[in-house]
Amino acid sequence: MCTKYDTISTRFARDVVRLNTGLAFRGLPDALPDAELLHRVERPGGLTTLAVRTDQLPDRYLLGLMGFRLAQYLQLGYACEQVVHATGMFAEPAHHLEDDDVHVVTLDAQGRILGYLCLAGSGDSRPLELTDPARRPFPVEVAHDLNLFDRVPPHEGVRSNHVRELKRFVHSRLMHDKEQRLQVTMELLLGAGRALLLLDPPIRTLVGDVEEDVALRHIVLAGMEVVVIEGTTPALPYDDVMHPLYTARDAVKPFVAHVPDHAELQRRVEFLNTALAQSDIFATADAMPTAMPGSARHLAA
Amino acid sequence: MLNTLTRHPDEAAPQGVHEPTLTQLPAHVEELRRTAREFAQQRLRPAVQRLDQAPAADFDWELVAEAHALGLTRLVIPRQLGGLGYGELGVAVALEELAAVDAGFALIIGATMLGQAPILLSGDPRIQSRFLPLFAGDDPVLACNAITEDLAGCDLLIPDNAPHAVGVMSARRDGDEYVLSGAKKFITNGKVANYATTFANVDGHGGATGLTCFVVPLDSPGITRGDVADKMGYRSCLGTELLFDEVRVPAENMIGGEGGGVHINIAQMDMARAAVAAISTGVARGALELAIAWCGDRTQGGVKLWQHQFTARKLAEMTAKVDAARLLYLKAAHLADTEVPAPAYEPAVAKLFADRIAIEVATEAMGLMGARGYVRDWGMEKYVREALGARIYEGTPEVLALAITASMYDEGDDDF
Amino acid sequence: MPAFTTKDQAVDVFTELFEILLNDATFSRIVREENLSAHFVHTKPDLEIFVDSDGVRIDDVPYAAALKIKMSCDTADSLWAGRLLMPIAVAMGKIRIKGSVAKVLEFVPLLHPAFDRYPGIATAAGVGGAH
Repeated sequence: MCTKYDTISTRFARDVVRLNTGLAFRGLPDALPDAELLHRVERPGGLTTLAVRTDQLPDRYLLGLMGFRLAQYLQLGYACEQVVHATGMFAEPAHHLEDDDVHVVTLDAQGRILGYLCLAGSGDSRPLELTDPARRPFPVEVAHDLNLFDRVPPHEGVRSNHVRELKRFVHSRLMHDKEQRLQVTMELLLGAGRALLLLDPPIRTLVGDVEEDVALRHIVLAGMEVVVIEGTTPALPYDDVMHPLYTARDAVKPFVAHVPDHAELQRRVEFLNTALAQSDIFATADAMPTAMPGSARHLAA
Repeated sequence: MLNTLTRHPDEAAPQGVHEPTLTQLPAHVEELRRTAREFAQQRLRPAVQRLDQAPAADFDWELVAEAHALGLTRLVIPRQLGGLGYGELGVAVALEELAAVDAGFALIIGATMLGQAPILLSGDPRIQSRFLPLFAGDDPVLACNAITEDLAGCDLLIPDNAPHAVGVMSARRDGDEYVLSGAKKFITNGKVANYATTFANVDGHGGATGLTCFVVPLDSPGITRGDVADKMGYRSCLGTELLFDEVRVPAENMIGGEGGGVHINIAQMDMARAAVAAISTGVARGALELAIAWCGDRTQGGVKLWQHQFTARKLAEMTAKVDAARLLYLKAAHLADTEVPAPAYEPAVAKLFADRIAIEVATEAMGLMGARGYVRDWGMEKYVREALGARIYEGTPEVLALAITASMYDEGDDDF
Repeated sequence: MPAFTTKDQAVDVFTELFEILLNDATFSRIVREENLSAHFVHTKPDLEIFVDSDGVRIDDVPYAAALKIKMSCDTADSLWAGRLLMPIAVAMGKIRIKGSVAKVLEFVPLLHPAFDRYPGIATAAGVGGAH
């Protein structure tokens, strides 16, 4: 579907990016039921990070998040301009979302989205064993055409409702300041950590796919023990707006990461929270590998 | 704090056909009426005198931002584009509430919807996706509809006049773009809008026979927002000249194809007229409410003013006119929500009547207040000035009369 | 010359067209979720098409549809082929719709996949002879 020279699609995609980049959502924190939020923190200077379930989001804010996702992926070259144009898309389709998917989002003082990640649920109507063929596969499993848990045996008692897929870990391309970018990364990790602590049932395993030199670093930085599976050939159909994810990037590998136990996760979240309240964000990042040791192990094809 | 218009997920969507009865509006429209009324009474009313007496170019973005936050700028936008999915009935009811306090503010919102209408009518997701979600963010966004020109007003509205139009803004095709040159005049929101649905005549067609609708972002190179007209009323909204100097617009911003502009324009007018009739109804109601308060308070000859037979007759006539105008616009709006194309007859009748009675009611109300009706501090003379305005925009009485009589003689397809 | 020479030809073309739409994931999902239904009243040749999440019916109207849409088969051909634009067809009264306009505004953009497919279907069926 994608060709390089398709000016009308390119113009349309550019307009979609401009549209979404220009939108601000400063009213989002006040539009959410504070008591039920998984995470909410406001920093001096106006940076606000929230972790919120799909079903807590008013429609237009949900569209705003999906628009941000699409705009970032278009700019990265991971979303297909032709599909976006052909379907008149301005936001990633929201109907794939589950009500209990968790969206972690960081806004600046003007309400512009600076960073986002999603912890997507299994979508199974009832919890199933991870090796059960009737289990609904996670999107990463569809793209890589495998059952991750055939390759990485699940921990005992872990069923589909204890697993989340980490998706769309993206930063706004408006951010050019390294310090701000690092802070947003850590705010998102803190938000995700808080969500993992509070979700019921507890999340014990994360899955997803990553480029070795990019997102994998963040996951290891967050202190996860990551098992990376080698040798898959991921692909999405050409009419899927995200099919360039697997053609425009270097090798993208699926992973399974086991979440530390509750006490250890809590300790790490507190470390991040305390560290983020201090001024030297680079020092915090330097301290993380010691305070929150993570690792990556590769599973050969 | 005012409630933002949202719908609980469990509630029925307002998209369904909710037949209003003669005495009751659908629940979601009632909710909208309450929200608009609270905003108008609590937030707009304290600012009315300031807005009216400020220099012509002053604009209150803070109040617009509050109205935007409530959802008033995205009422007609479908939900999948971040809007609220209200129809004309809801819009008209909301605009009456705003206009009963300040017609200019109602027109800021109304003109924005007029600028949204061609994009909605296009039915094209590719153009809808590029412009309508703008209104779903938290920063206030306004739109405008640019048709009127210095030498061409009604010539651009009446199809039979199109060959005689002169000096119309031109659109020249150049590759996959059009180049627009010319000037638009008295464009409500032109000074403050994000984009304008702009009507230009494609080169090679005489007069306005090639009238074509384009969506033009107003930050495009070559556009100058001109002076603000120093108007007699409606002073809280800005009417502006828009100058187009070789403005390049992508062909995909065209709506309805080359020469389709006249049809787009008629369709949007038929959609919008019920709402404009509601603005006039609101002006009349505002004047009436002031008069009722005054006549209930003031004692003359030992009794309240309203107890004088002459005054009672006047108040009764005025309230009957306001009620009748409201029923006409509600009927027109309901039809505009349930028939495509929107009928021409009912909206034109509603606007013709409401525009006339607004002048009658406001003038009569001013008379009842005596000298106080004539001085600025009491607010009545503003209603009189504003009552005169609605006869000029979105169809003069003469244009409306032509539309009404054309419908009377039209032998349409009645079996559908 | 009319685009459709027989009713059977029109039935075949429009049935295939709407079945394609119902196979489109977005269209079918929204039709189902929003409980959308459309009753097309075509003239010259006369036929009625009823579309809802259950499928396409010809000359069989099981209930009052959310949207009732009337146009001639020639107009339908021009519209789906892209020679006549929807807003112009509507403004000129070549298409008349009864039902919630808000639903129409949601529904029309969903029809876009059909515009891409119609020329091929029409050509294969010999519609208008010259497509």
